Amino acid sequence: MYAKIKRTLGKERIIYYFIPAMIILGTLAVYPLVNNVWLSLHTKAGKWSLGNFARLFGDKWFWNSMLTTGKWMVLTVAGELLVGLLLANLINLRLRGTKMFRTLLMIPWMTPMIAVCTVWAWMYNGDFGILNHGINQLFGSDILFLSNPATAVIWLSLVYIWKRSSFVMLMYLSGLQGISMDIYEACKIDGAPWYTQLFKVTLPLMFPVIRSVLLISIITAMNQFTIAYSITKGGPSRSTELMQMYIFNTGIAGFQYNYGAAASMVFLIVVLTLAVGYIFATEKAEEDMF
Amino acid sequence: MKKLKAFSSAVAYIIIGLFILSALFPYFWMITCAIRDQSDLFTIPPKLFSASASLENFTYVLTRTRIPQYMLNSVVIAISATLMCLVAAIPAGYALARFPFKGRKIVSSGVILFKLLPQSAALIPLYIIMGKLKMMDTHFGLAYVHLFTMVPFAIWMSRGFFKTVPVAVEEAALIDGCNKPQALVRVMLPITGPGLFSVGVYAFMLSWEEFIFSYTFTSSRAKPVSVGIALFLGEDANLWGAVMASAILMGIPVLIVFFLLQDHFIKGIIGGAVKG
Repeated sequence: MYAKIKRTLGKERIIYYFIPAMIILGTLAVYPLVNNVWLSLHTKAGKWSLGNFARLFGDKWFWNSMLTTGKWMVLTVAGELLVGLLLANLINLRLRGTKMFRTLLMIPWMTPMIAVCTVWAWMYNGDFGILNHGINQLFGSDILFLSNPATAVIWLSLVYIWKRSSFVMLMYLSGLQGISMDIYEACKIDGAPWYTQLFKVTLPLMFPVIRSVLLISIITAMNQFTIAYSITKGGPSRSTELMQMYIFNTGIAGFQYNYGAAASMVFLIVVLTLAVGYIFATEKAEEDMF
Repeated sequence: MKKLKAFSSAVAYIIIGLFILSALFPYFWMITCAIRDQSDLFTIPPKLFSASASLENFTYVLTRTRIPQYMLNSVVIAISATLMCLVAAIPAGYALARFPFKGRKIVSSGVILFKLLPQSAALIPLYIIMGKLKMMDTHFGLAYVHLFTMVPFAIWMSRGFFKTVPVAVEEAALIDGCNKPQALVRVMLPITGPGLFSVGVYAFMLSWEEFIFSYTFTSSRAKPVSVGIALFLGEDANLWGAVMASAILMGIPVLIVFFLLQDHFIKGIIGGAVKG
């Protein structure tokens, strides 16, 4: 009997390697997700109901969060992409001091988000912030960074772009370095100008890298919470209330577990659809290119 | 032609310089605002440089606030979380890297999926469960939920590191008489040691700066420094200097560690993300 147990346990089954991870992710992700689905489809009293979702569709603040998160996503992803690509190309030139430049540029990314948020909140301060002072000196007027509902999300996204660009830069850099120099030699021999080189050679060859970096950028941007919560608290007039903040505010702070669960389910579906749709869409584009 | 090259080099240097300036200016500002006298902080117009210098903000933060307690909490929580994370992630990463089992691609995709999950998807259920299990505001409870973000990343990173070792190394170990787990412990771990150490450090950092779960699941005992600083930030309009000081105290250890280990991190994070 004991011999049999010993024999079974002694067999090196691959699944053993995954057991701790399965326990952790099962209890932290899988079970809560299932629970979330249940919560969203029931009322507080425990009765089955689609009321949460119906209410969600009519909730203007929910849609405000969606819109804000969408704006945020476009701003940050575009910003990261441009700055990251630019920096990657510059670092790739391998000028003197490149390694030091790269390290210095990475400091914002390495600092904890909340620490970064404190100084930016202070710099953006309406009365005493140094940024307003700088703008004043240069242009003579003020910019209401965090108090104008129409533009607050733009200034907030600047903080995020500032923090994340060097990480994105690193990924693009490794992509650039994967392109063999011979191709550029051939371009030079063929007399191709720099813009042809950029658009017809570099960018297409970088497409796989850009594709995966973009996906990570999009999803990570949508999942932000700390930056909105600490710098603007979702204001002014809830114009920077990202989706995770809305869920927190209604579900936890507002004690509306079922309603918040419904909101988080819709958000999750949006995120997953975006991810899957993105992968499919770009897969086709990649095939067409090659 | 040479002139054009020199000119474009110069332009490149200038652009890089501008970016470095904008990357570093906030840190200069953080330090100078933490060091100057309170009165120099609230001048109109704000002063770029200030003649005053004192460490009173730091002593204030260290002696008159609960920030040191929060930092201790963060350390305890992060260490426990990292240990649990490594126990789960290293075998899983190894198995993903080495064993060509059926469904490996699904599991890999699953790990990536977990990496991208929004924390809000689990937030409310976890809130309810933690309350029922009396895990709210406990160090262990918080350390455990931190694993939500830490484990997928750690699995992915360690998988990347394991992949860099040629299979021949393990095959040699197996020929020499080890079975697979022994090969893992006696041969792979020493070789990938530095890499795995950086996985642990990165996991520690994830726990150190984690915010949304930490904010939701603590109230007084187990509050980590990330939440402490956020509350400090929202509290008093007059204590900006002290807020800067606490941000510095929170960020300096992280920055030092990152500096020392940057090559490892960069390799680990890129390797996983790009090759996919």
